[in-house]
Amino acid sequence: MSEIAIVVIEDEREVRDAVVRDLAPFAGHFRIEATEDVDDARNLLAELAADDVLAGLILCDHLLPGVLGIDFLIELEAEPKTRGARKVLLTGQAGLEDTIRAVNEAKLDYYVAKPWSPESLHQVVSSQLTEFVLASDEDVLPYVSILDGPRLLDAASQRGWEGRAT
Amino acid sequence: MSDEAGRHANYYALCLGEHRDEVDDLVGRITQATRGVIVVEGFVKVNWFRERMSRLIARGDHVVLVIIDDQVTAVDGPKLLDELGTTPEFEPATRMLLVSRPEDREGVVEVVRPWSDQGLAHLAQSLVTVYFVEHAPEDMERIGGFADTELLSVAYTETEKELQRTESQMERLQRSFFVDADVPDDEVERRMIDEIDRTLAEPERVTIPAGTVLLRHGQAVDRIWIVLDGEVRLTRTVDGREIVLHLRTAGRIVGLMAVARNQPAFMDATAGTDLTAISLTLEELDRALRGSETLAVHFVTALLRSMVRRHQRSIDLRLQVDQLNLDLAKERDQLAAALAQLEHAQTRLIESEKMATLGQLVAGIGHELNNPIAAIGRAADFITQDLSELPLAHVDGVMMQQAFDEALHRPPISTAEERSQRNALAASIGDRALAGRLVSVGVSDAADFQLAFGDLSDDERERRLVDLERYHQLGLSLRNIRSAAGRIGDLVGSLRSYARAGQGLATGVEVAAGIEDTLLLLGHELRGIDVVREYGEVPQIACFPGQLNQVWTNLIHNAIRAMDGSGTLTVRTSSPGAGVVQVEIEDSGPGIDPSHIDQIFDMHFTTAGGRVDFGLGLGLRLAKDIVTQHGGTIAVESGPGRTCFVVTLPPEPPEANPGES
Repeated sequence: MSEIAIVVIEDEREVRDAVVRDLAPFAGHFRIEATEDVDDARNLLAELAADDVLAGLILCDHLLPGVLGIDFLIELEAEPKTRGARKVLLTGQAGLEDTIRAVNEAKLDYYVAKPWSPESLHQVVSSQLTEFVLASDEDVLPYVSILDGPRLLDAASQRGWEGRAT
Repeated sequence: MSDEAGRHANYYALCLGEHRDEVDDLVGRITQATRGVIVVEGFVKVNWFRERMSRLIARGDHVVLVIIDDQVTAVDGPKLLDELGTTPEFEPATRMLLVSRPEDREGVVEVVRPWSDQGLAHLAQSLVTVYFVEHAPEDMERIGGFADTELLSVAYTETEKELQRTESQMERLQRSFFVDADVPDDEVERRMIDEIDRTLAEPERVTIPAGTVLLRHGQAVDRIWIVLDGEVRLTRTVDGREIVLHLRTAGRIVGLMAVARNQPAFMDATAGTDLTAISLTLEELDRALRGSETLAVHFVTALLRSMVRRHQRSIDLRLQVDQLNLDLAKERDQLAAALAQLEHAQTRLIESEKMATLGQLVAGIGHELNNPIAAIGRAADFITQDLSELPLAHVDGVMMQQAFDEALHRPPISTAEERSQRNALAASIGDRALAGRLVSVGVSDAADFQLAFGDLSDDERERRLVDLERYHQLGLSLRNIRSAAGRIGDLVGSLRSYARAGQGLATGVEVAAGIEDTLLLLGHELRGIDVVREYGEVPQIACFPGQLNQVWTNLIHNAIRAMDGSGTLTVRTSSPGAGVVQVEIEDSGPGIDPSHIDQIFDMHFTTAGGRVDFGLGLGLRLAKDIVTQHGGTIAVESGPGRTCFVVTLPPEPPEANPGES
């Protein structure tokens, strides 16, 4: 089974620290990687790919140094290795136009507005990762306790039945 | 032949014949018939004949009669007579041809052989009489002795008739109104009045006081006035307003127009001054005109001239109206332009009013934010103080204290650096998750790990690590609270100083401080953009700092927009002259379209989606207005990859600054 990573891209240290800490509950099951800019994020994604780690969720700030978050997400959508990753924009500043572009072109999965509440962030991350795990060929059982358990089990039994039928 | 010297006679008859005796005979008879009044000369040589004729004419004498014998061989007689007939000088002369057979030649009197001496004499007398009647009536008495009386009486009758015709023609000419064109108007009018006095036995002069109405528009007219002294106003009243049609141009005859057309008066006629006038009823006028043709001529002349004057006046009026229309059109255009400017000014006023309101709101919010920010900052400090004693109570007090302090004070390392430490540590201890946690709490390599955890069991190590993480997180969170609160404090401070700067004229202003406030407030737009500050030594100036902040905001915002997310913004200050401050805001964007650069400060602002667009348009226009009010200048240089706005400000604004009061 491949390890799954949550990648955070946020240039402000205080915000990055807070996001990472809010993601701590997922730390036992997912590798949590924080980057401060797009260049570092690219390096990281390359490292992950080299280590056979799947990028499961990309949580990206919108206003990044020299580039907009959605432009980076659009770039990732064009990459086969990151196309399957769930993409969430974390921002206080994306306008309606940018958001529409993100949804249409970057296949943005969710939009988290700053300031966020930890509960809502957990909920978003959990449901997005559930989708990612279901879409992948990975074994769902290890994630039942941390993600959307009922959905994962439901899917697992579905697969089981299918497996039995064949 | 005769010698002309001493003779007073200047009427000649010339004869040309073939034989001298025949010629002499002819000369003798005609001389006798005309009693010597006509000098008769005979020739047998054509050349002499011609020469004599030319000479007489050249001398101013008259040739009355030319007689040629057709038997002359040296020349064709009839042809010579024709030739003479077409010569203007000889034209009045009667041409006579002596012939054997009449051929009815035109313009020639033919005398057929053999002629009676008496008949020839009579013919000569008649021809001479006709000549004198037609060409020399003033010398008529000379021919009294032989003149053809019957012919004379016919000629007299004709002359008489001609005279009569001429006279009546003269009279018609006299009646023509243009014969008197040189006579001044006064004179024509005086003659007319004299003639009226003569015809109507001096009609009474009436005195009419100024203001008296002579004719009323629309009312019937039964008399005319001939004004001898004073001035009449001809007017029409339109919409309650009196329009003067004629004053000087009214003329002396008032009312005739209406009378002539048998219509009501079409103008009001009022005595402009006291008048002396003759008032004539229509019957009196009629009688006077019938009684004297001269009066009719003078009257019509005076009237005609009056009409000409009125007509000229109406042409002048028409020209005046046209000129007025032109002036009005010009004024209307000016008003339209003024209105457009006013509307523009009003829009600007509304926008600046909006900005002013927004500014007050911002200042108010900034003020309100100060308290919570101060409270947060202080609370963070208190927590830091209180917590810094707690780690020491821990079993591993020193280690916990160190984790706390490091998180609180250690300068951050980059995410890449942190990851590489983690990778290195993971490689050395063989546990990536543990390595990650260790690096997070500041245990960055294997040596530190050995130092902190080397002698512990797994459980003991986990407990210690959890506690370390706790103290580390405490320190980190406190650090982040203080740093975030500090940032909010800076923002609020800039916001307040930016907003407060709108209050009015200030002295001793550091221009760079306003630019720094602006840069801080626009910080969110500046990500990805390198800001280069080249602040030189510049003098402090007197200015309206709030307005200048508006200028910096607009110029910097423009520059940022032009670079679209990445590039270099250079802010430069310098002092090109005593007391003068120059600010340059330069971007590395693509440059301004050369076709726009001339109007860049004049463009009307646009509103996009209901909000004011600070880009090109209002922003630059406002910036220019503000700089101009400060007595400064703003200019732009632009090319691909570099656009630079240069603002120059004097030591103080001109006294009459309309900006703020």
